[in-house]
Amino acid sequence: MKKDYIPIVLCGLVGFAVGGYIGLNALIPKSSGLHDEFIMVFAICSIGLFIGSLAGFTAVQIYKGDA
Amino acid sequence: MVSDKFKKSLRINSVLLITDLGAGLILYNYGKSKGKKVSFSIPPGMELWSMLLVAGATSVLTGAALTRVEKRLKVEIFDETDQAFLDPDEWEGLFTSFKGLKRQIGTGSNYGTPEGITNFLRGNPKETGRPVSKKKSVGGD
Repeated sequence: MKKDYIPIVLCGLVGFAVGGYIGLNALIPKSSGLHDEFIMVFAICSIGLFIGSLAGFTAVQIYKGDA
Repeated sequence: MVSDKFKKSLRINSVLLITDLGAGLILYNYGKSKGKKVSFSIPPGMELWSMLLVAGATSVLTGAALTRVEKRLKVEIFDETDQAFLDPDEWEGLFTSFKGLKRQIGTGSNYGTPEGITNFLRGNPKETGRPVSKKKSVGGD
């Protein structure tokens, strides 16, 4: 069971990073930095983490079923 | 009192909440440094509460979604009465006996053939005067 967390957390972190990249480059204007719009970027990152962890969990369930 | 499923969901949620908050703190400190030397500090009151609120909401959403995904993926194809639930050693025994039977048929030996098949082979329909097919039709009516 403990090993199941690793892909979930890893995929979640990848989603967080992707969300951060999208939030910084596409949604937040360049004039205002990360410090000014931190909560906005963090919310997007959290959604990325949510999607990533879901993907990781689904992968774990599928591969666990195959094994 | 609390089910294992709930415990498992709670555990995953806690891990994700901690991960989210930790990554958020790193992001905050990275943004605050603006390319200079990074120093670790906790966001001020309002930002911290907003951060906790966002992380909590995401965690609840993630928990709900994980439960839904788990339910969708848990598909039982066979029930307990089906033979697909034979134990691995039972399957092995079944295959071995089939292999043995196949070999005996190939060599013409009837040693170890199931009793029903042996009886059928020994029986002489001409002597008894009751062919197998007719016997079946009489019983059916």
